[in-house]
Amino acid sequence: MDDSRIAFKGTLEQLLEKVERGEMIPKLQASHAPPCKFWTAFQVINGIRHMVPVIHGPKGCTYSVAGAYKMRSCEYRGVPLEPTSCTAQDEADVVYGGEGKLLEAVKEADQRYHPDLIVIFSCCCSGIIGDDVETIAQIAEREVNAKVLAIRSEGFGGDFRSGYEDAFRMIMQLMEPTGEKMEKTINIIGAREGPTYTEWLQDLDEIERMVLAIGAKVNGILCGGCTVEQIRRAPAVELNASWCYDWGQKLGDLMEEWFSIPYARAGHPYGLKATEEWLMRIAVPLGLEEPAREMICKETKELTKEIDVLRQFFDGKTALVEITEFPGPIRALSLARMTKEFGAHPIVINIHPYTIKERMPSIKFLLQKGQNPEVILTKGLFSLGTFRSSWQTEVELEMIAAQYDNAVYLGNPRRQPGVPQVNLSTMSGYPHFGYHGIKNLARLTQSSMEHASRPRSKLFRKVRYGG
Amino acid sequence: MTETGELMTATAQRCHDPYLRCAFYGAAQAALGVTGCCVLAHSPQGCYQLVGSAFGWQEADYTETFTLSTKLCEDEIVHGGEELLARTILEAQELKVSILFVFSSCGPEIVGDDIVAVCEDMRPQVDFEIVPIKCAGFRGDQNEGTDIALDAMLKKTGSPRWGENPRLGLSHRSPRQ
Repeated sequence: MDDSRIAFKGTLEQLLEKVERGEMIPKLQASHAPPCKFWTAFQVINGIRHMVPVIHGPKGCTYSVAGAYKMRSCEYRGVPLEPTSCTAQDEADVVYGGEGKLLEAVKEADQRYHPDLIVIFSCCCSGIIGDDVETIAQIAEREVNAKVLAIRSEGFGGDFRSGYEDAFRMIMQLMEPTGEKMEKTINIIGAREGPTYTEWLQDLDEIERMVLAIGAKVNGILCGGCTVEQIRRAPAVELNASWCYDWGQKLGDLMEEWFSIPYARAGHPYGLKATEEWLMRIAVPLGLEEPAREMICKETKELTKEIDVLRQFFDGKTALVEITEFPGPIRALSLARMTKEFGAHPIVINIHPYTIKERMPSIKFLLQKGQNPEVILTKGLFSLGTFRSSWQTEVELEMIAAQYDNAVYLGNPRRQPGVPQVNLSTMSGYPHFGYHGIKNLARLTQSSMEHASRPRSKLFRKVRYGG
Repeated sequence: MTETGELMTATAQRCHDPYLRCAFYGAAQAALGVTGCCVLAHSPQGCYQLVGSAFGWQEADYTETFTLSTKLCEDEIVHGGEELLARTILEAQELKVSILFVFSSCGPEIVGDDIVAVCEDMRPQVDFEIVPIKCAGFRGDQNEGTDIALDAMLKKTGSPRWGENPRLGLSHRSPRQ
């Protein structure tokens, strides 16, 4: 292989060290630009039912998050469209301030929609000119029926992580510890996107199914379609468990600190071992070890055929995992662990240093748990432009795959690495989590084996990647 | 017949559920209709998502049309982002495009980043045309943003230096209505 195309080759731990030392900094470009703080804060709060946002900013910010997190569900899944309201700041508001307009907008939202909760979001404009959204929220709450909270979510104010961390911190204001305990009940934390169609719904459904199957109960999924009432009584549960360690971490840590609720720290339940680990971290503190073991034994037995398929596909292979942009970097690491469980040597391709920096707490946690796969970053990752779809990264991937005589590829079906590939980015292949996830992953690998020798379209490749 | 009071209430609306995006998005829709261009959003990352939406809406070809962002954070809002913009314009040389549209979003416009001056300063150092477009979201809705962008393009094509670049062969597709 042409080593001149390799920017980094080593373990995840070595990459983390480089990022911590300030090396591997990508250029000042937008080939990796996840949403800003405002988007991720909205993503979390939007998962609360009967909540109306009042975005104190221009229409662009509002319509964009509505389009990304609400309309998609409505257009494709037929769920009712909920309001995403804003103050529609214009030049006059920026020059003269818009606090009065915001107060009126909150009152109007309450009268028009009768929500349980109104959340005021600040944007770049209101943040820079200094509109005091917190004070307006306090004043408004005295004049409306709904609870009113505010979050400082100016887009320039932080990276995407700070948005969801601040949003989870904010919802803690809704929690009311009463001293009562809901026995054998947990919160699933770290969810996001909407009360209508929550992101990774299938994975959340599988997690909920497994929790119920061992005899535990779920108070609410925070914030993936939960109610204000569920958030209010969240401190009464015995345990918090995250569906995604990365997103749930902050809320888990805060609730542990404030309300002494233990937090079951575990990675994604990809594959048999990780699923067992995820379940036992819930079952043991709840005293449900026995039913959990029975359930694990029963479900594993039913998957004999699927496990054989996965072993046959992965055993002795080099598994190239390239899902670090979608479905996500933490999933890439979880999947690498799963491929190792079934006998492969995993290599994670192009996990962006920007991601390593932003998700450092989660990466460190996974390293502590022994997940330290090999990582290869290519030069194309650092080029200007859209690296996910660039000709450089496509060619580099092909070169990496050709270096091994036993490589298999897990990632985007639009790639053409020239080796058997498992499609992991089409939503119809979900859930990936838990036992139902193993069934799906086995189905996808079976399909990969059956179609490995089918030629791919060179024309499609040229149209897609140029070159 | 509609009562005057009802009309006043309707126009005095303070809580909007918008059905259009802002000027920044409309400007991106217009600019991305230029084949082989690059749009550089002098903005935080969230606004850059709007450029991404406009890119999809125009069905632009990412093998020849590019989008970049200066990814502004608190430092640039407090201390100014002109230097960062200048560096990013220089880096855009790698893309081998014929024209670069530089957009300013709400944040840099409020703090007073002078994108027009930066573009003029950088023009001799690069081999593509640069068109600054001041299209902060608070300037209006997406239709007004389209007007702002087209206006800036027309003014630029009328400038004396236009046409000196042999690689510049502009063809503009009007945004779909």
